[in-house]
Amino acid sequence: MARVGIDVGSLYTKGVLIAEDRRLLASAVEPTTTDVPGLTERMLARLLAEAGLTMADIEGIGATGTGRRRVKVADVARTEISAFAWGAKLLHPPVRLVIDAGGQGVRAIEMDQWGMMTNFRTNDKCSSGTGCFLDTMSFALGVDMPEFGTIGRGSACPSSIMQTCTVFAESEVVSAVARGGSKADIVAGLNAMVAKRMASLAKTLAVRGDVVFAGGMARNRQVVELLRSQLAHRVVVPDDPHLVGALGAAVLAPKRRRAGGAAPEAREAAPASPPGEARA
Amino acid sequence: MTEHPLGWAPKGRYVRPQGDESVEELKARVREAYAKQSGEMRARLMAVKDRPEGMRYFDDVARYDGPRVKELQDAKGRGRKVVGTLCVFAPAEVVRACGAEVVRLCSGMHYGVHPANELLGDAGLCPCVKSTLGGRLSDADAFMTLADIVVAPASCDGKVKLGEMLEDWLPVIMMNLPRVKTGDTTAQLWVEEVMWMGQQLGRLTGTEMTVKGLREAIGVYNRAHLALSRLTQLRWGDRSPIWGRDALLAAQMALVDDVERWTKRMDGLCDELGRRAAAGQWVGTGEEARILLAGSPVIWPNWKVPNLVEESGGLIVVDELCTGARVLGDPVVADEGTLRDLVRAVAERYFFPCTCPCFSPNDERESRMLRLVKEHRVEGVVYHALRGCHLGMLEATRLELALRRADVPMLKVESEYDEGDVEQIRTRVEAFVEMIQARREFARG
Repeated sequence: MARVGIDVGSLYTKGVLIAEDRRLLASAVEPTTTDVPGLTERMLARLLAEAGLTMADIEGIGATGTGRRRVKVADVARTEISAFAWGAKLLHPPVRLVIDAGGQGVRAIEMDQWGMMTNFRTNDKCSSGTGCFLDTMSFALGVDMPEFGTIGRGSACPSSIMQTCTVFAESEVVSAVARGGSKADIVAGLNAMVAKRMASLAKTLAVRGDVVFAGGMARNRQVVELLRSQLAHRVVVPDDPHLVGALGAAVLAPKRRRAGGAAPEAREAAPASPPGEARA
Repeated sequence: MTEHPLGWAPKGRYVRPQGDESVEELKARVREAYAKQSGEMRARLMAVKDRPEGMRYFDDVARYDGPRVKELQDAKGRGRKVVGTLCVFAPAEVVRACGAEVVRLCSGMHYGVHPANELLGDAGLCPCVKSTLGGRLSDADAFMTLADIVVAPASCDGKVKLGEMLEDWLPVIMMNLPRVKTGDTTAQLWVEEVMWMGQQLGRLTGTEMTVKGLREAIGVYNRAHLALSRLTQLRWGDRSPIWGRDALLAAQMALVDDVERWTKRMDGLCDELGRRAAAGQWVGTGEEARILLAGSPVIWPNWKVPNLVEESGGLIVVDELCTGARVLGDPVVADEGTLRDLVRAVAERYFFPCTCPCFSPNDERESRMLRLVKEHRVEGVVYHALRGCHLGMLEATRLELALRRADVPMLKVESEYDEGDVEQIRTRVEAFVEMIQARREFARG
C-alpha cells in the first residue's frame, strides 16, 4: 500500500506519493494559495494520476507545514519539525542533525543514535536567512533564484552584509550596488550570511554526526558549500531537498486509513496515535 | 495640604496634565482592552469540559473589575490602607501585621504595554514591567488605582526602575534586596530592610507591628501555604484531577485575594479534587506529555503559554514560577521570640528559598528543578522567557544544559504579551510534545 505526504509551506506546497518500500512514485510542487483545502485536493489527484493509482491503493495521508491543519484530505497532521526529522531519517538513516531552511523558517533538529528527535531550534519572529530573505535580495539585485547559488562562487572578495534584518539588509545591498560592487561579490556575501546563521543555529545543539541539509535553501549550491565549511561533520544534501518534509509526513501517516475518519483537527487535539507508530 | 505621613509628595515627572482629554480616552480604551483580554481568557478556560466546580470562585477573583475590587474599595472607605507589591519578595505577613490589605500589582495585561511604549520607546524592557507601568500611566489598572503605597523589592533592573517611576503617583518603599546570597551580611541586610518596611507601613496605617499581630499573620499565611501544597500533592499521580492552567490560576489568585478566604476556597477545591481522584475522574486522556512550566512570570491574563501547552497535548504537572508554586513557597518557621526574631523568620523565608534568577549564586534553582522533574515524573520542561527578561534568558541556558545531562528535553519559548506569535509557538510546542511522545513510545519498545 502506498502513502501520501503533503507539506503546506509558507511559499510552496509539496506533495509526494511513496510506495510500500518507501520508493518515491510521484511528486508535485505548487505555490501555496489561500485555498489550501482545494489546492491539496487537486495535488492529491495529480499525484495519484502520475503514479497510476487510485485512492483504494492509499493507506494513509499525512500533512505537515504551516497549513497542515487545513489539509482536509489528510488523516493526520504533524508539525514540520517532526516531519523533517522522519523524512531525513528515511533518506539518510545515520542522520544526527537536520537543518531545514524553507520559505520563512529555519529549523535545526538534533537526533540520537536511534534516530529519535532529542532537541530542536527554530528561528522566531524573524525571517532573516530564509528563502523569503534571499527572494527579496534576488529582486533587489536582479539576479534570478537559480543563479543565486552559482554566480557568487568565484567571488574573491564577498561583500560583508552586516544587517540581519531583511529590510535593512536590502538597503545595504542597494547601497552596495550604488557603490559599484559586483553582483557576484554581493551574492556571495548574502549566501555567506545565510550559511552563517544556519550554522550558528545548528551549533546551539549537540552535533554528533551526519548533517542532512533539507528545504528549498539546500538547492543553493553556494550556501551548501559554505555550510559544509562551517560544520565539522558530513553534510548530506538529498536529491530533492525540498521534498523532505512531505516525505516525513508520508512516513508519519497512520498505517491504515480509517473509513470516514474525522478531520485532522479533531484528532490533533488528542494525539492518541503516537508518531512512533510509523516505525512498526 | 497636609503632609503625607511618609513625607512623600508627587514628583510630577511622568504624570500627564490633569484634565487632558486624551487621558480619559486612553483610560477607557485600556480598560476595555483589559476586560476583553481577561474575558476571553476566562471563557477559554471555562470552555474546558468537566472543569471542577471549585474553579468558579477563582474565575471571579480573576475578573479584575470584579468583587475583589469592590471589596477593597469598601475597605478603603473604612480607612484601611491598600499595599501594592511588585515582587514575590515583599513579605505579605508584615503587611498584614500592619493592618493593611495586600495585592500584587504585576500586570499580565497585553494592552498595558502600549502606554509604556509610548513613553519609553523600545527600551528593551520586559512586558511585565511595561504593562504594570502602563496600567498606572493610563489610570486603568484597578488595583494600581486603589493602592495607597507600593512595596518594591529591588530584584531585577526593570522592577527597580519601575518602582522609581511609580513614585510620581504614590509613595514607594524600595527594599534593598541583596542579590548575592552568600556572605555573612546579606541576610542581615534583608532582615533590616523588612524591619524598616514594617516600620514605614506602621506609620502609614497607624498600626504598629506587634509580636501578636505578626505571629497571627504568619499563622494565616502558613495555612494558605498548606492549602497550596495540598493542591500540588493532588497533581502528583500518573493522572491529574485538574489541568495545570487551572491550578496555576487558582494558586495565583492568592496574590490579589483576601488570603483567609482564598485558603478556605483552595481547601474546598482540594476537597472536590480529592473526591474526583477517588472516583477516577481525571483530566485528559492519560497520554499527555508531562510538562514542567518554568521561567519568567506567567501573570493572569497572559495565559498564552499555559494554554498552548495544554491545547497541544501537554499537561502541566508542576511549575516553578514566582507567580505559581513559589507564591507560597515555604512556610515560615517561627516559635516564640521577640518581634525581631519573627521578622527574621519571615525575611529568611522570602529570601533563602527563592530561586529568582536575580540571585547569584543560584545553584538551588538547578537542583530544585531536577528534584521537581524526578518527583513529578516530568518528561519535558517548557521554559517561558519574556522578551527583555535578561536574567531569565541567561539562566535558561544553564538549566537546559543541566536538564540535558539528566536526559530531560527543554523548550525555550521566548515571547511577549501580544498574540502575534501564537501560531509559531504552537508549532514548536506541538513538535515538543510529539518528540516526547515518540521518545515514550520508543522507550516502551
